[in-house]
Amino acid sequence: MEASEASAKERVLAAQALAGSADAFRGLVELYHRPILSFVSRMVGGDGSLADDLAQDVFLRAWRHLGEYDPSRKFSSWLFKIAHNRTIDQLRRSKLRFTLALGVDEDEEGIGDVAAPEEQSSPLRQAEAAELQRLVQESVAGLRPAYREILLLRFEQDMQYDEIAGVLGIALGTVKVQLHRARKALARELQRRGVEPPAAFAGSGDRPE
Amino acid sequence: MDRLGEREAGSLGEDLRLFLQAEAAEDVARSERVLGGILAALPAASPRPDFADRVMALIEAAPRRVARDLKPAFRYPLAAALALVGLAVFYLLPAVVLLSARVEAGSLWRAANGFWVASFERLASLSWVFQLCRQLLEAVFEIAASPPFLFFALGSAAVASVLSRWMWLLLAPSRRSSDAAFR
Repeated sequence: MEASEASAKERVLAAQALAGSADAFRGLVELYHRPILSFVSRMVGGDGSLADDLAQDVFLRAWRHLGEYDPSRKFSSWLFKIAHNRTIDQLRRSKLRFTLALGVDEDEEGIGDVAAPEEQSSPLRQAEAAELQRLVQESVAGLRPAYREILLLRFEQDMQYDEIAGVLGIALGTVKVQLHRARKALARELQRRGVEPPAAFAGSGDRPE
Repeated sequence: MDRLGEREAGSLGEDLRLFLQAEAAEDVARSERVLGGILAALPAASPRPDFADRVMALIEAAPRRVARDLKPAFRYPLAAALALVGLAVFYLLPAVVLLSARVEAGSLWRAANGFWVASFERLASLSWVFQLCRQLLEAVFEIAASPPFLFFALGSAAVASVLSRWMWLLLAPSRRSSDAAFR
């Protein structure tokens, strides 16, 4: 579905849901349950069961507070704002600071399959790819929640700066600063875990690709 | 933003190195482009097939609030006021019903008139009450202007503001700033 088409569908469903249509709200749940679950799951370190409960609660809260939704804004931004608040509450309660989560645990009860990218190459390459993905997930999970969240919103959810500012309730300038710091922190995490930049930027210059 | 969905290990490793290179070179545009691809390609959690059904079942069990259009700041005082009014009505209504059953028609109106007339006549003879109030107020202002009392009042105000801020955070989670939440 193209972005404009999804946006038009979102507006129609949100307007109908605001008028009290539960069916329209169900449409919104189906439209956004994947991104919300993905976001919440990464924020709580890949605990599938907890993420499922939290995602469920996000939609329940959205329904209860639907009257506070401003139809001139994107419904998804409003939904992510609720997800942000709910996740922060959870992190505060459980003081998850943070287990180096391995993204999503496939054996975890309460969550479905993991949609891994399809690979058509050799098992060795698949294993290498999985290992690198795990490394990236660990690096992201190792960041402060504020950095992790802003990176996920910007790069996984593909949000614009002003949208992120609305979700997190911070100024546009703060978003840029936080994003800059988050990228730097992620680069440090990756390097700490053994990923090195190309030789010309590595300092010594003696390490081939 | 290019996605890495079909990429292989070598490609992801290359992208990670490109990201670090772009960061080292302060090439923000390139860094964001590459990082976007890396993060977007991570395996995403998929909800169970019955996710929407479970959400809708919860929604049916928990209908939307009646006062949903009110801002959170007004909800709690309004709810408290409504509860007080409800209690007052609950206790007063039987008394009113009992009284009205014993009162003759028309006597209520006469009583009200008599009450107001008597009240104004009595008020005219109660100038000493106003004098007493004036003296009391003067005494209160004199005490309030003293340094120990001012110190006590300012301290109480500070404690009250901290407590009310804490209550506000407790009762209105949607207003929390993300910065405060993380630190």
